[in-house]
Amino acid sequence: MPPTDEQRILITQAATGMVLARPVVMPNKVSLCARGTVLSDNLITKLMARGIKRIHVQGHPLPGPSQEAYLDSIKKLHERFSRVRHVPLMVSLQYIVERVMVKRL
Amino acid sequence: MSLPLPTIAARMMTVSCMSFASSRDKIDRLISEGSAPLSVLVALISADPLLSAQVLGQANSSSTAEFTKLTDAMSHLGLGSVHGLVKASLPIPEGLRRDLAGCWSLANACANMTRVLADYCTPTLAAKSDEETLHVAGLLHDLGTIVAMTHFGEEYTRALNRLGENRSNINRLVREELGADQVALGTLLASYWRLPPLITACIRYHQQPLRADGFQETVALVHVSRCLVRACGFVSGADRFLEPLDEEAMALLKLRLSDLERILDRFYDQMEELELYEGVLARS
Repeated sequence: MPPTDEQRILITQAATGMVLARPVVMPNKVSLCARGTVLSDNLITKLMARGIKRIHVQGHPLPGPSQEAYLDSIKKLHERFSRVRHVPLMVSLQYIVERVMVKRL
Repeated sequence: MSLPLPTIAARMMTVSCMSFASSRDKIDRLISEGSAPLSVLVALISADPLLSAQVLGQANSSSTAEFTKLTDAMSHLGLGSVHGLVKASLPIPEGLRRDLAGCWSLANACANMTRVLADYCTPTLAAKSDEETLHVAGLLHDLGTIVAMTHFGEEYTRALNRLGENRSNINRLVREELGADQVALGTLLASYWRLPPLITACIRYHQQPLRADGFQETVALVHVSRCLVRACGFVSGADRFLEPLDEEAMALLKLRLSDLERILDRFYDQMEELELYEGVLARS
């Protein structure tokens, strides 16, 4: 599993005291909060009201998948693709799915 | 030994609606209380493939109009009739809960992916379908597997048991054990339940989208969506091995491999929200 010092969470999972690992930016590129901002209930509510759905926070405040769970999901991914390894398109698709899975850990 | 076709057809006529007790009770309570807006009821029913199919089928049976949207179908039937269908649905037997949860999960994932994919492909699509129709198309495409599990359990289990040791695909194995595959079962149910032609085409041709005359684009969306969500782990029961993605369907939708990562990201974002708010979807 790639080491990261931040976690991507839903705004509904955010809690007071969590620290933003990346700035919160609207789709029109307007920045709402800077990196390092400490979240409060009031700020979380305001972000929700602005339509923000996800944020990056420092550390891993929410339990993520364990190393075993990650390895198991990769093993299952390989098994799912085991009968289409002769199809180049499917080999590429497996690579893409694996990359997305790792990115979203 | 497979069953004779008349036996399969006769048994298909007795297929009844089954539903998870938790969602059935919730819909029942909300309709009884009379306070939930139609949109909430539609959202709840549209997470249940069998209930959605039955509501759509009832509406299409009683009208010359073609209903592909649950909102329209429910408005046409009236909440009293919908309530009757919900109350008449049977609870899913304990022994089938795990496997059917996988089917429900795959159906909902495919419904979401079909919408995400259609939104992504919008500039290149010739025929624009509304979001609700696309959701239903993805949700109901694999009704045949649900019927195989619920009404031909013995034969379906035999086919699944052979799947691990045999490189044949699940459709062929079910056809050998039962006498008809999931696509045939789904198509028959769509006919009995009077589902509209677009949805029937998605059920019948989701594995060969280019054969769906008149509905190729929507069926191609469902085909690609099904392949992508199964690649991501939304599989029904032990039927876990992928079939190849149809390159002609990708070409029809003007999709490139380089588009898929962005599409998967959008899909996962939507699924995260669904899982958080509904808590009903479990990836295998």
